Amino acid sequence: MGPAMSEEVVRLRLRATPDGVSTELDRLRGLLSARGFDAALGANVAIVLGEILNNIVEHALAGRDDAWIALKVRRHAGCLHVETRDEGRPLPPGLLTSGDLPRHGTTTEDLPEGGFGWFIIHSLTDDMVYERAEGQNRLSFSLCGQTDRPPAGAVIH
Amino acid sequence: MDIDSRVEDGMLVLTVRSPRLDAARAVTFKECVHSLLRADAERVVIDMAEVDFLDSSGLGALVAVMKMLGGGRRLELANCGAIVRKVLMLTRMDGVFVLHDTLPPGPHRGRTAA
Repeated sequence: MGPAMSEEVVRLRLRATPDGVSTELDRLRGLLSARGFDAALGANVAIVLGEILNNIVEHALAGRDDAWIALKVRRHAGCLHVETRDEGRPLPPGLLTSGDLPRHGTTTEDLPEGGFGWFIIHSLTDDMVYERAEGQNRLSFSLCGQTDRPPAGAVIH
Repeated sequence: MDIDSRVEDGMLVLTVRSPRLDAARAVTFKECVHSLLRADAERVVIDMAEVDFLDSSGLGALVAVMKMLGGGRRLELANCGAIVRKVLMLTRMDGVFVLHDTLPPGPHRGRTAA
């Protein structure tokens, strides 16, 4: 392998609402697929990012329909590095450390209806970083495909 | 949210006409299913064939629907795609719902095969 190659795949701003998240995740999956990324990798990115973005909308930017979230995806040696930035309130620290599966309980009534999000995130990625700086929340993580084959048509700088 | 509903041999089949069951749709989904549930259905199956994305809010909505069934009835899910299955497996909820690769036959027809 030559020197580290890194390529920007996506840079966009999305409206911080559940509908905005939904629409952009669809577009992102389409774009990753069109760029030749493995479907399973695209699916994992969409699953993890969906949980992160919805947590930002719900916790950092609750009640602010005019807010935006910046999203950047870079490709590096078969892996995708994803970063989000928003100018909302700091994320509750508990959210970022609790990667436990909510207890299923013993009856249907005991079943959890929430709390799955961070468990899903921590199941699929082990390098989630959260920083609070300059009034911004910055979250980043990476996911790697099963093969390191460069995507078709990729421009490598 | 568009959900088709039909009763087949005592089994209520709800077909979700949306490619996503996520935070943007979880509340509407719950309300819509609630309005379609029938006390006389022995089984309730949700046909997930058109749903290619499920997030934790969508999963929570499916749990909420199972609680609506009452009487110990378990919610059945058919035709789950790769992402739906993955989210169910990661959260170990694949053992909470009854999963079918295809739409199951109605309860009476199913019984004759046993």
